[in-house]
This record gives sequence, C-alpha cells and structure tokens, in this order.
Amino acid sequence: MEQNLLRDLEHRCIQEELPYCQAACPLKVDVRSFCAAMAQERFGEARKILAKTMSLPDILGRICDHPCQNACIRTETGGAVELGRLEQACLERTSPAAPPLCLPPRDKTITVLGGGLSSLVCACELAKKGYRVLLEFTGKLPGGRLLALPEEILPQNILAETWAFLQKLGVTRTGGESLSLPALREGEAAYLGMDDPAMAHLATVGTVDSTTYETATGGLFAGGFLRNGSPSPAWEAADGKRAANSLDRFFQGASLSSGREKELSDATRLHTPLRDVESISPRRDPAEEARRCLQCECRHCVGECVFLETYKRYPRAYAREIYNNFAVVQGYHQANRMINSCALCGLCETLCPNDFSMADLCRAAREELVERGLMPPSAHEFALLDMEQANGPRAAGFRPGRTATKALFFPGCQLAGTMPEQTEALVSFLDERFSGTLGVLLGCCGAPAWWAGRRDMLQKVLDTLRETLASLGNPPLILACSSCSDVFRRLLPETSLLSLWEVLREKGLPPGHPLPDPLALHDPCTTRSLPAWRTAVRDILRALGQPFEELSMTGETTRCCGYGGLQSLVDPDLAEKGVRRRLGESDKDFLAYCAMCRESLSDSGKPVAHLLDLFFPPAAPYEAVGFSARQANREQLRRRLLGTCDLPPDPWEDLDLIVSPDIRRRLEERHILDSDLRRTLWEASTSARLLVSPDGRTLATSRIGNVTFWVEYRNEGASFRIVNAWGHRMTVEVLS
Amino acid sequence: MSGETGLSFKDETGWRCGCGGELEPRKVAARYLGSRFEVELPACTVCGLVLVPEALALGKMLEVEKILEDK
Repeated sequence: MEQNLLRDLEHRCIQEELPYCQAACPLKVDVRSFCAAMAQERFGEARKILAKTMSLPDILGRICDHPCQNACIRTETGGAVELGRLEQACLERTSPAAPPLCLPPRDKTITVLGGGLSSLVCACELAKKGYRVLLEFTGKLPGGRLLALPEEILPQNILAETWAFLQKLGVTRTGGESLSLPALREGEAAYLGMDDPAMAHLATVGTVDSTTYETATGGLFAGGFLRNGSPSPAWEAADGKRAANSLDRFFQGASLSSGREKELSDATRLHTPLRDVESISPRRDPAEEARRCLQCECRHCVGECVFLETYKRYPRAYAREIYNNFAVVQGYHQANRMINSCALCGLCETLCPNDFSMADLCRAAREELVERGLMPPSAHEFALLDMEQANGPRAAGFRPGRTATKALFFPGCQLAGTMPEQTEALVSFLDERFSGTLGVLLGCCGAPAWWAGRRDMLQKVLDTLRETLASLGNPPLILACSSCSDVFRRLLPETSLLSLWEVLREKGLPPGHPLPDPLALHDPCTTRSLPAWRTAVRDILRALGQPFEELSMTGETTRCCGYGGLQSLVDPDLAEKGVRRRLGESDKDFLAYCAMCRESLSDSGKPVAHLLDLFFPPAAPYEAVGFSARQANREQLRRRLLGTCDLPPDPWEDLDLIVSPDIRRRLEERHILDSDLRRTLWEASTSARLLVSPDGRTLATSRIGNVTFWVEYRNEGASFRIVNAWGHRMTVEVLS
Repeated sequence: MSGETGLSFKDETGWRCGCGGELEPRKVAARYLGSRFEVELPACTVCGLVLVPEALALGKMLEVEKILEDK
C-alpha cells in the first residue's frame, strides 16, 4: 500500500474528527470526555479534563460563555447539553489540583500588561513554559473586568487564590499603578491584555494579527478583544493562551503561524447520525444532564456492520493496521484475518459521507498479499477449488440457441448448485419465450477469485468466457446472480448484461404461485449499485400479487448474507452473526433473489424463499444444500442441459457413501467434500494407507492437493458408512 | 507438539496398520511452509505410516499452521 493512498483513506474516515462542541471551543476542551466523566459522577477526573486545556478553570469554568453549547447537536432532540452549567457543577464539587509542573526556568522576562482573564491565562501559560513573567495590573488584585462580577457568579476569593497560584508559579509584579506601553528592545516581548478596563488608554495599539496576536510592533502581542461587540470569557482565555504560544515561538525563533491549524480552526468534518436519538429535555442533576451528551462520533458504518464491529475499531484505524501489516518484515502479519474477513459488501461506502470503502481497501490488500506471497494458503483455497469445480468440464459448458443465439442465459454456479431442477424448468421456459434463440452457459463468473485477490485465476475465467461469447457472436448475457453482474460490469465491460428479472418482466412471467403471507424482501449486497435489478424484482412481486415488506436495511443499504467476499469461509462465526442480525430485522419469512443469499440465510432454520420458488414451487421446503451437494447438483444440471462431458469418470466416482446428517454437518464445517472422501477411500485402498481397529472401523488417509485427509468408516455391504473425517495441511514423515 | 497437546498415545491404541504392523510412538518430522518440527507420533513399525489423530489435527497442529501462515 502506498503511503499517499493511506493518507487519502485516513482523511476520508472522519471518526477522529473533533466533536462539534470541542471544535467550537476556542480552547479545544475535550467536552465529550468531560461529559463522560461527569455522567459517572467522576468529578475529579472531569476537572482534570477541563484543566488539561483550560489554564485557570476555577475562573473560566464559572463564567464561561460556552460556545461549545451553541454547537451541540442535541439542540433538535431536547435541547443542547447545558455545558456551562456542567462546568460550574464540576468546579463546585472539586478543589484545585496541585500546581502544574513547570519547564526549567529560561533567562527571558516577558511583561504581561493588564489583569483581565487573557492576561492571567497568558501569564500562567508563559510561567509554565519557564519564562519569568512580570504581570502588571492596577489595584490590589488582578481580574480587570472580572472584579466587577457579582459574588455568586465569581467569588472574589477565587481571584485572590488565582493571584497566589500565579505567584507560586513565579509570576511577579513591580506594583506600579500606571500601565504604560513598555519600550521593547531587541529580543524583548510583551503582551497587552485588552480585556482589562484599565488598559483602555492603550486601545490605539494598531492592527493585530488574528492568528498570531502580534501587533504591528515586533515583539508586542495583544489579545482580549471583544467578540461580536461583547466580552467573551472563553475567547479571552483563548487569546491569552494562543498569544502565549506565539510569544514562546517568538523567543524560540520559530514561525509564529506554521502548524497551528488545529489550534485555530473551529471546523470539523464529523458526521454523527441522529437517526435513533431519543429526545430528552435538560435535567437538573448534573450527572443526568451529562448523560444527555450523545458522545458524538461517526462510527456510522461500524454500527451497521458486524465485521467492522468485531474488530473493535473504525476504517481509519483499519487502514493504518493494513498499511502496517505490509510493513512487517519479520514477525506476524496480524491484520491478515481482518483483511480476509470483510464481506466486501460496500455498505460502509454507502453510509460514509466520504465514501470510505472497506471493500476496496480489503480487496486491494488481498491482491497485495497474493502478489507478495503473504496470503495465508488456507484462507481461500477451498472456495477457489469450488470455483474450479464449477468451471470444470463436469459442471461447466454451453449450448447455443436451437436456431440462433440472440442471448445467453448464465444461471451462475450457485443457482445451478442449489436449485438444479428449478433452473432446468426456468431454462425450458426461457427457451420457449425466446423461440429457440437462447443459448445456455453453465459455470462460475470468477467472483471467488475476484474476492480472494486472485487476479491470475480471474483472468483465466474471463478469458474462457470471452472466447465462448465470441464463438457465439457476443450475445448479451442474461444473469440470475447479481454477483456475476458485479464482476462482469467491472471486468467484462464490453458485454451487455441483463438481469433475469428484467427479462422475465419483459418477456412475461411464468404462471405464479404466490405465498399467502407477506415476505421480508432481502436484496443481495451486489444489487446495491444495480437499481434496475431491485426495481424489476419489486415489479414482478407486485405483478404476481405476492405481498412483501421492505427491511429496514434495504436497497442501497442492504446487508450482506455473509457469503460476500468469502467471509463465511474465512470466519464462519462472523458470517453467522451477520445472518442472525439480518434475520432479526423482521419476524416474517424471508424472500431472496440470489441463490447464495438464500443458501446462507437458510442455515439457521428460518424459512427463506427464492423468487423462483414463486414460479417453480419446490417439492420440499428448502434446507441449506451445502458444498458437496452443490457440486453434485452442478454436475447433474450439466448432464441434463448439455449432456455428459467427454471426460472419463474418476475411478472413485461410484463409491457409495452413507453420511448421517450429524456427520454431514461436521464435514461441511471442516470443508471436506464427498469427492475428497471417495478419493481418499480409493487411494488409501490402492496404496494400503489404512489403519484398522478390532471393532471393524477403518481409517483411510490420502494427501489430496495441500491437505492430508483422514476418513474413518465402516463397511456396510458395498457401501461406506462415514464415521468421522478430518484433515490437516502439515506433512508428517517418520525419521529413520 | 504431542506433549503440548496432551495427546496420549494410549488413546489411539486399537488401531493397527493395514500392512499388519503395530503402531508405536516414533519420531517424525512435521513440515509446513518451510518450517520443520520434530514430534513423536504413533507410526507403523513396518511401513512407517504415521497416524495424525483428529484432536491433534484440529487442535495444536491447526494452530501452528495458522501461525506459520501469518508469518
């Protein structure tokens, strides 16, 4: 991954942007953490959070004009969180912390004129940085305008305590009663705090730079001005603090302005969705009031995606983890599993205000893992072998139309695998509607290779497909699966693509068998960018009179069934979590129009119909078919539609297996196919790689590809009753 | 590896090799992705067929495979 790509991605994800309140605060107080602490009545910690960015919280916390509160997005749902009141409550319940640690003393003296808040903050900040500060103010106590505030708002003893505190930090005064502009020599600097009425006579100081606070006179800085015509304590404090920063830069010989964007900006790109926020009016109790804080963040995508949620962070952080994963030279590539667990479904991109796509990120990362030889071999091998089977001579092939080939129907490997009889009936129906001009092409579109980052394998699939299409005069493809459409529209852009559903809508529907109860309609994730598919399906349902309801996440924001991106093969538990979440969106039975969605969603026992069931009703309620039977079904459909292939049968093909439902489940979980069992039994018997037990069990073993299989069985007549099976990738060999 | 899994050879007695030989604990080399480990596993004294029991294949062995794959 290139570093500039990482930067672009990091910029897109706004999770780390400041919450609205903090952005609006000129001191950048971490209001969100402050509220979190207040909500838990951890007042001491809340005070520490204030003090982190607020120099003199005992003053400002009591009189703050809280620009943060005006920026709070709770305004529409019960009213802004009353942050000013929370600051006061925090200070009333806590006492000042120990004086802060100061940097070692520097041999520089800075004069700070005026006793207003900006001068006090400026003096405090400079003292902490190690400067000798001469604070000049009139009267006994500093405070300027603050001295006139009523006791119940700002008790005068707080000003006295503040002065004592500043003196502890080393701040001194000469005690002169007149505040006059100091004559600055080379290398000297001063600050004029204009928020002290006693400074009024110096108001002619001239133009002041609004970001550095430097006046036209070098070394002379000024702040504490009115904001929009009125005094603003928050801004006075900010002026003092920012000017102190400028003064420090002045003495360090550094640029006064560079790298201060975050300090000075009040902008934020954060987007906090308010969809499910309940309206609550302000509460008297401070902790309860703090609990009204929405703890603004984005995490919009994270909240809607089991994958993003499971890895505990957010896209910006994932981008960084993936970048770091490729920087590992020696050690473990810890992000591999995360990279391979994304369903590549595109929901995050749709939800993100800046179109951050985890799918693009993870798929590109998979390609890079493959290219650099870092892809864990076991991650996608099983799916890729399944693709190879679907595109092998026993399952794939094509036939032209009887009279011409005006279109080519491509049901896809999963429709063929899960609903072979219905696919056959559909082909007969279409053949009739096209009056013999419809060809049929069986095989896989290459989506597993696309998802697995295997460009090489994908290219092979697409090359064969291009050849076939060219031999038929490049007819348009009619697709039943939106994943095929997703792959072809990206990588076979010269081919015109139609959805089966658009074709059926236009050519006329087969006789329908609608179900009486409304069904919850599930859009496949690959139709997110295929509105024509979604519309056609809804048109068909209405024409058919099938009642249906939209799920809360539908259309562009639909959820993946867990097969996308090969998620269920890499992390079956995660995929199952996603399925449960999806099915939980409605208590109705579901209706899918992608064969693989139906297969994945069916595994949990909830009835899930396929759109084709409403035209070609199945003989029995659907149960998840599984890998082995899908492969057998593809071969069966190939024989039925295209005839037997030329390849001689494998010698193990006729071995008869008896597999109980429990063992079947185990085999499916372990990705052990019937073809693996048969071949192991055959090869073990011919090479005598067998173990026997006195109770009549036999254990056969064979290395097939990258896996050593072990198959435990009993003979029942000429059949093999499978008792257990397992596999491993390591090889073992006796040392002589 | 056998020691770490708590794999007991006795659990697997009962199996005899199809060639007629007995299974006995023998030193074997386990290899994956360029790494090599020496472990003791039940193997045929006559033909050298090594038994990898289910618990080992799906337990420690799988764990090591995954670690090596992420290396």
